[in-house]
Amino acid sequence: MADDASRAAGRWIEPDRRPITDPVLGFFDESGWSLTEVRALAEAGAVLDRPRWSELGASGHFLPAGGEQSLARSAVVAEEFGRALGQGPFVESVVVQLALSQLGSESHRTKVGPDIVAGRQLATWAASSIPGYWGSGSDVQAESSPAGFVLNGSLPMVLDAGAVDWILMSARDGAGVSQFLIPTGQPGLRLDRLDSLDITRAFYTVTLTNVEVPVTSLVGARAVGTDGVARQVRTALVLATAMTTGSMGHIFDVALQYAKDRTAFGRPIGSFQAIKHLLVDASLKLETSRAMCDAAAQAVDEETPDADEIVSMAKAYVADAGVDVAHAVWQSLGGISYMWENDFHLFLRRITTDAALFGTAQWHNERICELHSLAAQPTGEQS
Amino acid sequence: MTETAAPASISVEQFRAQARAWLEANLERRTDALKRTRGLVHRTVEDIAEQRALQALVHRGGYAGITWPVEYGGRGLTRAHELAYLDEAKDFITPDLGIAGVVTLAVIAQTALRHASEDFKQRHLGPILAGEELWAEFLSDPSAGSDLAGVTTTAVREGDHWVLNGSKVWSSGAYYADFGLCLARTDWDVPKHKGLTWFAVGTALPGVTVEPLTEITGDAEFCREEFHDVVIADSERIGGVGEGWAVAQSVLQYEREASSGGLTSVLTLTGPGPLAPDLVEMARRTGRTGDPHTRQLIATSHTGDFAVRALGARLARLMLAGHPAGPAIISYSKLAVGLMEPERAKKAMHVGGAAALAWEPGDRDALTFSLGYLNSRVTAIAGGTNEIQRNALGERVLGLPREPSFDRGKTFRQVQDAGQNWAGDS
Repeated sequence: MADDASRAAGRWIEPDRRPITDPVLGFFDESGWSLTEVRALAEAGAVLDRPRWSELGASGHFLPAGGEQSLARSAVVAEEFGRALGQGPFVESVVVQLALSQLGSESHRTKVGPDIVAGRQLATWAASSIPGYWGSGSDVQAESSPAGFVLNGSLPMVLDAGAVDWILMSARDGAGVSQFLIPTGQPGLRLDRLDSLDITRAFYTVTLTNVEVPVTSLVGARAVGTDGVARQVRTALVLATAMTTGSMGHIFDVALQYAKDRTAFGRPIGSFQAIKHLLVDASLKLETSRAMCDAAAQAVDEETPDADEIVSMAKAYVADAGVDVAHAVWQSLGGISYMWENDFHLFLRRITTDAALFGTAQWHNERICELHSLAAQPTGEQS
Repeated sequence: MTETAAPASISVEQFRAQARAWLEANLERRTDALKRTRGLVHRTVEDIAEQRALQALVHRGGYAGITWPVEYGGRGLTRAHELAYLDEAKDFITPDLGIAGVVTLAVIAQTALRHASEDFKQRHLGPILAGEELWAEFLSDPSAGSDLAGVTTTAVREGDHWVLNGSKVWSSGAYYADFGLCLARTDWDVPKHKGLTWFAVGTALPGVTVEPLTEITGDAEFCREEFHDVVIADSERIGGVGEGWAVAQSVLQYEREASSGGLTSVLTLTGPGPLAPDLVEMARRTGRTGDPHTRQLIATSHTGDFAVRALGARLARLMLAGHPAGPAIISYSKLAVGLMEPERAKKAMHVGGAAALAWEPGDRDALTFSLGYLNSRVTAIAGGTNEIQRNALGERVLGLPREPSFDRGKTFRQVQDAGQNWAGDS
C-alpha cells in the first residue's frame, strides 16, 4: 500500500524506542495493515475482522503475556496502533489480559488468558461498568443465586462486543462491586450495535436481563471493589491516551507535509505565518501530549503515590489537545479535509471519540480535585 | 583562586561530601518556602552588596564555576559535580544576584567563553565568578525588539577604540550591573545581519546613563540606557567585527536555555506536588472550592504547571538522544510557558473574582496575586516573543519555509528607507 511504504520514513524515532517500534512497524508493513484497509472495514460497517485481529494477537507484539511487560513499553505500542488507526479492542484486550493474570482463577490464568494473548479467543472490557468511574452512571446489579449470580443492567458503548467471545464487566451486589468475565453467548445477554461518530470502530449497547453466571466467572474476589481494579483503570487510561497521541501524530505529519507541498499565492502555504504558527501550536500540543503519556506510564510503572493523579492529568490534557490538534489540521488542510476520500475525517472521528472514552477531560479534572481532597466549604465559611 | 585545591579526579560523591561540609560550615539554612507567584523584584544597593559578598564567599570556597575551566577561575569538573553541589545547596541560602546574576553566569559568561578573546576571558571571567562583575544584556533598541538585527545603536571605529552612540532598552537588572553586553551596528552599508558587532560597555563609563523603567506592576527591574559618545577599547569587543549575528545566536540560545531551567536540571521529572496552591488559597478565600467551574480552572491550571515540566523533561531527553533539530527544540519550552502563563493568569482572575480586584490595604497575598496577573505575559513577550519562538520552531524544527523577506539583498541603510516608505511588496 502506498500509504504504508512510508510508515517509518521521514520519522525520527528515539533510539531507545526503536527495539519496540521497529518490530511493530515491520508487522504492519509485512502483514499489509494499512489505512486503505481501515477505510474498507469502516465502509463495510467496522465489524471487527476476527482473522486480522487474531493475526495481530499471534504476532506477539501487542498483548503482554501475563501482564509482565512494562506499561511504558505497551504505551509505545499503543501509540503506533493509534498512528495506524488500528481497528479492534486493543486497550480492552490488554486490560482483560491484565485482570485475568492478576486476579483471575486458575482457569482464567492458564486457559482463557493465553487464548486471548494468542488471538484464539477475543475479549473486550465494559469500562463503563465500574461504578463511580467515567461519569457513565451505568450500574449493573448482581444478585446471588444458587448457581452463582444473576446480572441485570445495561452498558453503553462497549467496543466490539458483537464480535468477541468474552466481556469483562463490573457489577454491584449487596456485598460490593465484583468483576465478571462473561461469554457473549450467555442467555439474556443482548448486544445492540450502535451507529457512531467514529466509523472505524463498532460500539454496542450491552443489555443484561437475568443473565445467570457461575461463581467461576468472578475475576478476583467477590466485592473486589473499585480499588481492586485500579491497576486496570490506570492501564486503560495510559494506553488510550497513547493511542490518541499516535493518531494525532499521524494527522499532524500529514498536515505538515501538505503545508510544504501545497502552494497558493505563489508560495508554499507553510511559509505563511498564519499556517506556520497554527501548526507550531499544534506540534507543541502534540509534544506535550507525548510528554504527559511518558510521565503517566512511568508513574504507573514505578507505582508512585501520585500515579492516579498523573494518569488523570494525562488523559485530561490529551483529550483536549487531541481535539485541538485535529481542528488545527482540519483548518490547515482546507477544502480537501471535507472529501470523504481524504483519510483526515477518519482520524477526526477517532480522536474526538477518544476524548470522551474512559472519561472526559472535565471528569478527570474533577477527579484530580478529589484526589487532592479539595472539598467544598460549608456555606458562609470564609477564612 | 580557591581555598580547596581539588584534584582533577575527585569523585562526584567525594565532592558532594566536601560540599555538604562546606555548606554547613559557611552558609545559613533556608527557612522560607518558595512562593510561586512573582512579587516585586527591585533590589537595593545594600542588598546587592551583601549578595556580592556571599558570591565571593562561595567562590573562595571553590563552589562557583564548578564546570568552568580552571584557567578562568573555575574547577574544571563535570556537570554531575555541579548537580551534586546544587542538590546539596538547595536547602541553604545561596547568593541571589537577581536577574543580572542569572544573566551574567548563564548567558554572558557562556557567550564570552565561546566567542571572546583570551585576553577578554582572563580579564572578566574571574571577577564574574567572584561576584565583582555583574552584567546585563544591552540587546534591544527602542526601535528594534523582535527584529533584533535591526538595531541602530552604532559604534564607529577610531584607531584602537570605538565610539558608541544610541540607546538600549529592556535590559533586566542593568541598574545594578557593572557591564552590559552590547549589540551595535558597525556598518550601515552592508546587509543588516552583516554589520553587527558586540562590545562590553562599562555602565560607569563617561556618556553612559542607565535608568530603571517603572513597569506596569510598579516595579523597576528593567532599564533603558543612553550612550553618548562612549569610548570603548577594541579589546572589549567580543567576536569579530561584523560577526555579531553569529554571536547573537549564542546569546539567544543561552538565554532560552536559562529561561527553560537548564537542560540537565529538568531531566528528572518530579511529581505534580500540591494542587495549584495560589488558586486553592484564593478559592478558599472566596468560598468557591465547591464550585464546579472553579474546580475545573484549578485542575487545568495544575495540569498545565505539570505539563510544562513534563515537556521540559521530554525535550531534554530528546536532545540527549540526538533529536535532528538539536537545541532548537528548547523553544518549545519557552513557547509552552509563554502560552500557559497568560491562560493560567486569566483563570486565576476568574477564581479570585472581586477578591483579586480590590483588597484591604496591606493584604500582601492579594497584592501578590494581582502582580501575578500583571506579570503573566512576561514570558510571552520577553526573551523572544511567542511569535518569534513560533517562527524558530516552524522553520528550524518543523522545516517549514521562511516568509519572504524584504531586507535581503539590501544594505541596512536601504532597509531602513524602504521600511519608512512602505508601499507593499511591489
